[in-house]
Amino acid sequence: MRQLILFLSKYRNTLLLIVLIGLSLFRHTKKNPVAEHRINSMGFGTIAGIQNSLNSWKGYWALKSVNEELARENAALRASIYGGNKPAFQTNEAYDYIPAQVIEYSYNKRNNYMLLNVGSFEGIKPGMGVISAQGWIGTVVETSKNFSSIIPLLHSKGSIGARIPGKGLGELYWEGSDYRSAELFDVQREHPPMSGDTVYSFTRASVAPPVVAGLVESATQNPEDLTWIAKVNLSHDFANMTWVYVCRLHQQESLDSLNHPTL
Amino acid sequence: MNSLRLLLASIGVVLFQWAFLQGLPLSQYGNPYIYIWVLMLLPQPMSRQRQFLIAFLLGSIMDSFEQSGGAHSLACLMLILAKPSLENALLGFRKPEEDEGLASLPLGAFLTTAGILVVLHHLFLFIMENYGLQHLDTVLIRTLVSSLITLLLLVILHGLTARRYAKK
Repeated sequence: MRQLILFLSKYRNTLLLIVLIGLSLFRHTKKNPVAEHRINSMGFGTIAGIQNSLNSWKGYWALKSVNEELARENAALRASIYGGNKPAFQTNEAYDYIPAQVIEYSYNKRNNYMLLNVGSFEGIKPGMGVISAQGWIGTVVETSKNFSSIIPLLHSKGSIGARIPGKGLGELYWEGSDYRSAELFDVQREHPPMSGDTVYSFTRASVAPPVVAGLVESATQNPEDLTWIAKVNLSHDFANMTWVYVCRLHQQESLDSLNHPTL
Repeated sequence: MNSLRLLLASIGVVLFQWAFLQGLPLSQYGNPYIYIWVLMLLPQPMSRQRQFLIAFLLGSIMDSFEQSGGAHSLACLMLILAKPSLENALLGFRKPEEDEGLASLPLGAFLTTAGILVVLHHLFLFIMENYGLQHLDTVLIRTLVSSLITLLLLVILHGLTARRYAKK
């Protein structure tokens, strides 16, 4: 026992360092979108609140681009009302769109994050999709009363199903370097994607309606199983995010009751 | 440097980091992390355990803000781990009562010591954030740009505060 105490007191600095490194590594490996561990979501609401108050002045930088985006969106919506054209931002009557301001986001890491200023008070729940006028952004993973945390597409676990109309499904995955492009895997070999094809998101109905995710730039064939891998230019600009929409399905309750029938 | 001053400095630096430095328009190429200034103020005679704890706490706060898992805590611990041997190698022996971290150094000595520590911290941080060495070119560019901006800000901070902390 005495030896043990002597050992502990002799190496206390090293032992403390090892414990702290262990804690950090544990936290780092548990950094997971589905909040695998409470340790990474402790105090999330408080932190989002502090960031909200610290960052509010940054919104003024983006006023010009926000106005431009709104004007373009209005033009598209106007065209769809009077001309019957399908707008780039699809209106779908089965959904509510809850506008939300982006408090904080990143786009240059391997695993990026986003915080929105809407939370469970506004009816946001984990699993809802987040879109902008230009296209797909990500899904809600965690909410507090007034804030919510999003995994954007620019995350190692942010990949979604995606579809090129007439050419079938694939998986849209961001491989981690350039925030402007992602890759669409597993497109069937009979349907080579062409440059300029539009890629739509393909998620469950409870997440979001199909929205534009990007345009195909080029395609290569996987030599192993001959499926196509398309390089997709993302339509949403992940470097400039100000206002986004969270999608809420109207008939979520009836869908839930079908998924989990009461016995 | 007493602990109250240290506490005030850390709160001030973290708030400044989040109000003004995070997510600047240039952050595509790199983001300055000025909060490590607090770690540079720690005097060498301070007990190692306390230094490790301060580094871990500061890193954890940054991790919670930036949702970066444990990348900042690990990078801060690395910085604190490397700091004494680097100081000994570059600055030689200093009297314990005169040692006030890097704050009491003249500009040239501060620049070299802080420069090496900043590059070390940023490199480690970005590699951890990247979960490995893929896209190494991006990591290196980010390290270079971020280190340069951080160092510039640190030198400004040093110029603003050094006289106050110099020996009487």
